[in-house]
Amino acid sequence: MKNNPLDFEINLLPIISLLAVCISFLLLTAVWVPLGSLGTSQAIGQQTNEKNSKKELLSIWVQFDSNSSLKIFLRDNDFQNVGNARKVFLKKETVKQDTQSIIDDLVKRHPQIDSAILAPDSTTALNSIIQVMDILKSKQNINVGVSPI
Amino acid sequence: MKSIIRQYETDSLIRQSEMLRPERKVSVLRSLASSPILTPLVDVFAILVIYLLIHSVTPNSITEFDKDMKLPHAVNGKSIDPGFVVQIKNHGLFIDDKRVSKNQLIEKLQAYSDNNKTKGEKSRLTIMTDQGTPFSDLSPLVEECSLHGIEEVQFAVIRSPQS
Repeated sequence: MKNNPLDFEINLLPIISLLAVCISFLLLTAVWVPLGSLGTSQAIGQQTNEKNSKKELLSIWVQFDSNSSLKIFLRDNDFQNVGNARKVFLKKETVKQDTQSIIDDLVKRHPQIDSAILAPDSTTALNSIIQVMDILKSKQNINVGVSPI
Repeated sequence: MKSIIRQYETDSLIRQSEMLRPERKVSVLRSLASSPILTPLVDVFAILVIYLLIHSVTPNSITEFDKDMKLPHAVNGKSIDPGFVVQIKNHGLFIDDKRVSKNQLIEKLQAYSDNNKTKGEKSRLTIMTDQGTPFSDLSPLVEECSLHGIEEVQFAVIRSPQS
């Protein structure tokens, strides 16, 4: 068969080799860590929430106690405790489930809860704070804040 | 016009190799073996390379952090929008991998906050630190954010699937 002199065959093997090398390099250097973030809303200066003055809003307070337990209670706009505080021991295996069930119960019984404040102490590890924040973040309409020491 | 069989016969790789060893005769079946179609393979490889290039070049993604740093895990973590990133390692504050003092951090926070105010953008701080870091290391940073008008403080986490 006489080939038309204007036709030529492209040898694809070098292109495939080059692309395979590029893919191998990029796969090795790519970072596959699924980074995310948990955000908190901080009060600035004398910021006040105008809504609070009109509605009876409640906030969940989570107080950490030297890495051994955490106390969960409700407070109203005047920083007065509402109801009883509940305690969860951090060393217990079911700590996450206990915390989740307490928060679910509070949110169900008090739909006017709109914020949550975490009050860790100096020895509280970030992991404990993040676990509680994670549970609170699953509730869509709750703003989470962290209180400095 | 040549028959299809004839056409494939002459284009076959196996048939072409016959040229190196002209004494060997190739059977009809072997002469019908066609060369593999490489075009789709090249297309797939090209798409993979383009995707990986875009993924590696995407801005606003924190990809460099200490390998020894174990970030906490969270199920409800959102996609990260870095803003001002501060790393806390060995009780020290690091910005862009350089250790800074508290005063230097305050200056940079103030400059960042003022810059964003003039642009009308929201200021946010991202804290990257090991999951075992005590809150005593984080508290001054959280306090400075409130004092300098940074409304949103984000903690960098690794998103884990729901258990």
